Amino acid sequence: MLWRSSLRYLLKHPLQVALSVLGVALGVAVVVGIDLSIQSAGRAFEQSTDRVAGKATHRVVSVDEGLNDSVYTHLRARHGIRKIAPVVEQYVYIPGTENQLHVMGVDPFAEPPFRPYLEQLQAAEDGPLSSFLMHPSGAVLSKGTADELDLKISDTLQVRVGDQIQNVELIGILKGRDQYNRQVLEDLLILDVSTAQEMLGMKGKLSYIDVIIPQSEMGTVKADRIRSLLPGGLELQRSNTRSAAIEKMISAFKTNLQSLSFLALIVGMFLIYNTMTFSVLQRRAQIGRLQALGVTRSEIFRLILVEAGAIGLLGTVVGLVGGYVLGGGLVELVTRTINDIYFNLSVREVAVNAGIILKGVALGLGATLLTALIPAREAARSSPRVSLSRSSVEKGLLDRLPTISAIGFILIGVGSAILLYPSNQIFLGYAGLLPVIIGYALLTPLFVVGMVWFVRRGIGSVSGLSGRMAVQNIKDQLSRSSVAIAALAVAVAATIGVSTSISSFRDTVENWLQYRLQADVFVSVPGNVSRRQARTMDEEVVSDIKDLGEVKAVHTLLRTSRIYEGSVVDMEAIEITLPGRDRYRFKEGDPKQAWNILEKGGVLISEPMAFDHEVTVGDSINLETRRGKRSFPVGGVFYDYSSDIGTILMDRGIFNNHYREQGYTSFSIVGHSNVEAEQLTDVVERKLANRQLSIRSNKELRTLSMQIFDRTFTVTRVLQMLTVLVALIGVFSALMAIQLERTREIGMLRALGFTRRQISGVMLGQTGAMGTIAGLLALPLGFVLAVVLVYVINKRSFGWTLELAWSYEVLWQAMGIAVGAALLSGLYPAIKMAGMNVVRALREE
Amino acid sequence: MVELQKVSKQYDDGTTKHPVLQELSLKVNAGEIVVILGKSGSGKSTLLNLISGIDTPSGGSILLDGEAVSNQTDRERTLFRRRHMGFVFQFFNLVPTLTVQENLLLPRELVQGRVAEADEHDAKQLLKGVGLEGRHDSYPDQLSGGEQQRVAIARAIIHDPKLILADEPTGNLDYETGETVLRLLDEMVRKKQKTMIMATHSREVIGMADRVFQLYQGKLTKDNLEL
Repeated sequence: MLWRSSLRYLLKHPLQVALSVLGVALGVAVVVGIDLSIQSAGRAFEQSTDRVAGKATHRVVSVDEGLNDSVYTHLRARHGIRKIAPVVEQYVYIPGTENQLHVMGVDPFAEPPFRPYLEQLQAAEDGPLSSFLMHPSGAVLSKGTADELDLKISDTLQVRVGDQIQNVELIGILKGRDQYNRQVLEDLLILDVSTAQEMLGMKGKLSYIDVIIPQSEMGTVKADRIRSLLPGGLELQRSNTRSAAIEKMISAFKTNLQSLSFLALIVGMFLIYNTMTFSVLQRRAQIGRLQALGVTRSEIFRLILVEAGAIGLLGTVVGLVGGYVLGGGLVELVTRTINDIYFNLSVREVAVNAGIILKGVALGLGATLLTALIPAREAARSSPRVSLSRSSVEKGLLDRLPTISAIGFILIGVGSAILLYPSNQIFLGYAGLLPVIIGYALLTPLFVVGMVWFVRRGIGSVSGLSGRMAVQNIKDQLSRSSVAIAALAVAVAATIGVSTSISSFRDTVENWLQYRLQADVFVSVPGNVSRRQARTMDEEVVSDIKDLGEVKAVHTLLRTSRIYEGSVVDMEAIEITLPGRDRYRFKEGDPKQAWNILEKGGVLISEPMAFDHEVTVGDSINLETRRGKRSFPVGGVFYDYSSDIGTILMDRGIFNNHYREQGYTSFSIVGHSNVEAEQLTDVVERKLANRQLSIRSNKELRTLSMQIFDRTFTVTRVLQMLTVLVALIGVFSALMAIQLERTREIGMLRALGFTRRQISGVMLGQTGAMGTIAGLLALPLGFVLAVVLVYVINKRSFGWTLELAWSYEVLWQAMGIAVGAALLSGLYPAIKMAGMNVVRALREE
Repeated sequence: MVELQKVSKQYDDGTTKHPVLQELSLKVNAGEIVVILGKSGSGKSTLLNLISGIDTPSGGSILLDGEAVSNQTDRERTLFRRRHMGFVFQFFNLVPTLTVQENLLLPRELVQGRVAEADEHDAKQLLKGVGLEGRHDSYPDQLSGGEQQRVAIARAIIHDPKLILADEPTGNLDYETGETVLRLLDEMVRKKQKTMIMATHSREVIGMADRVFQLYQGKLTKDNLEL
């Protein structure tokens, strides 16, 4: 009977139930959406490493990408090592687009034990293998990719490699045995190893040699033997060494996104708490009657929890579906950021797995039940007589105000202690932030009471009794209004915190670009501005430019990567004239000395590198060179915001002594003082007209860099908006609840002569005041969040020094969002209350 | 003052029509106290709602000082009610978020747009008149039920309305408190020479009435026990 009554109550209040379900659903959807997008990106990355590594356990790599193919022949022919396969691997572009193909140059004869998905290469007489033999310059694509590019056998495929366009003939199409194989084959362009070498400008070179070594004593012996046969500068690594290092690159990015998604869930929890409290409050008379009839406290407690569980379950199911849809949108943003900043990745689908679904269910149900515990306990604890009194609930809250506030202060203290604890752990940063946010939210009732007391005195003279009623209502319905205000304040504070940290970051980067980009024209291999390029330019290009009369100086750069202590780091070899050195600003070390050390064979390192690896001026770093491990003294630590994985800067001359990589990835040109930048750009463009190179003026490059910067934060802004949306539903839900509670009162006011407009005025005044209070409350918390994000989370995630850019604009925007969101969510209740049936309202008890 | 001409009211629940009032005619003169007796659900509150313009009749017309309120728009009726009527309800009479004095001043502010010091003085005098001197800063939930009704009575007359409508003003009070409230209502209305229509199920009030009517099965009849 009790359950039936409970079910009927929920069915009788569909809007209330719908809002709660929506609150849970949005919270779950955001967390699941983010998880799915990260997971999908991760899976796509795994597939790409799978297709590359196949069954190889080890690979022979060169410390400087200078692996001669003679090493392969030497190992196979001379020393009889059979289970090895040469690979040339790189990314190329479809001309005129940003779409990439993953080039794998393989030896069809050596392949069988390694990559099973390439089995068709050996399949039939008329299969691709025989085609490879007949047409060594041919290429094989998967069916999906061929269809997408609208290519048939014998068609010519054009690809852009660095600054050149290359043609290959399509000689085979792989169908893929099953779904997994089809996914692995997506965007893969398979070539014969020699064709790939030619196309990628790697004549006589290999990317690596794959090796299969059994996990046994014999295997160890075999590994040792291979190691002994390798010339200097080459090493035998486990296949997953590089992929593990690459995955590590995005771990901070992942943690930050996941933490932000939790914020939406926390705000959603306020909403659930509000709804459950209201559902208890609204039925206080019924609960009192049930208790009077002999229903026990534990039965009441169970009843409320089961109701919450039902709402939580429904919300979770809706949230999971919503999360899947949201994940589809977010995965694009996440992938774009990974592509912009970290590495090449193509994600075709949202990968769902049981872990994410379970996490969504646990969070949705867990958060609902956790937040429902308090109202359920309240309902069960109150005596039958007290349950009947509405004011007893509010009075109870006012009585508990000192305790609630004390808990709030304690939580803030605990959170602050965690935040101030010296550590490099990002997790501890968020773990400290959480109690600060919750503690601050617990101070909301105290703040609301104080604000109402203060405002009520001032507002009467401005807007009369209606104004006072609007403000006083907030205090009199403190149990609901304070929760809605807290939810809105947390969401707006998150907006302030995130916006401020982004604008701080933006300002810092803009300022950094000012001195970093000093040259007039920048030339680079087309592709991503911030990432390492697939191919380099040859020296001829640079000497052509140096010869131009308009050119005063050329600074060249070769950007490559190394694995240092298990992490991928950028390495930049530079040729730079004395004035060009101004573009580096040092965090540690005297500039003059730093450049001296660089010239004498030392290195300069970027701030994230120093932070991640705890290296500073005076230390030395050990790097693999073609002549074995060498120690390089660190001359200085410079500010650098182009990469969060760390950069090692080396003089090009010194670099050439240790590594064999040739060419340049980019160079910058300084014109003579009498040459206009535009004129110089024109001259350079004319000179390099027959090459596929990106030529950008200083202004263009700066604009482009900032565009990429802004694009990187799109996903953050989407999360921020979703959090505000959850809060908005919270306020709306609270207002609808208040409206239901005040039906009789509004009826009476209408009877006394309040016009509809006055009623909606009181309602909107109340929501406006709630929004204002939330906005004011959000300011200090927003400031704290910004400080923590800039100085703790950012520092621990990326190692950058950012200057906190506190702008009034953000504050006004935050107030605007708070008041706007509150007014928007108050609009419908206000219209509904103004248009209510007075006769029916007066009849309500 | 108030004239009902063949006033009918019926409610439609979508399938059937439920007649509540059937062609009621009544004339209440200025300064008169009229009591409408009737059982719960007889349509007393509906009748008061029609007179006050909160609800509109399904048939017939209602004239207040010769003007047909049933022809007015909702806004016109609201403004008329605000200016010329005072209300005392059975319960939930006061705005919980306003103090006693603010509740009292609410009709004045609605009529005048603002309240002056003189209004506050009047409010204090009225409070003194209903025996609640010094309670002006209290909130409704700090008052007993009887005290709240006394504030409601004071509020019903503070803006000098022509007509006071009282709907079961003692319905939520114990006998003794109810007696006190009725005495006070009678005294205030008589002293200020106001017209009052009171709807109640309690026969104890008929002593204060000039005329008593009974509402039964949607029709208004003169009560036999009125004198």
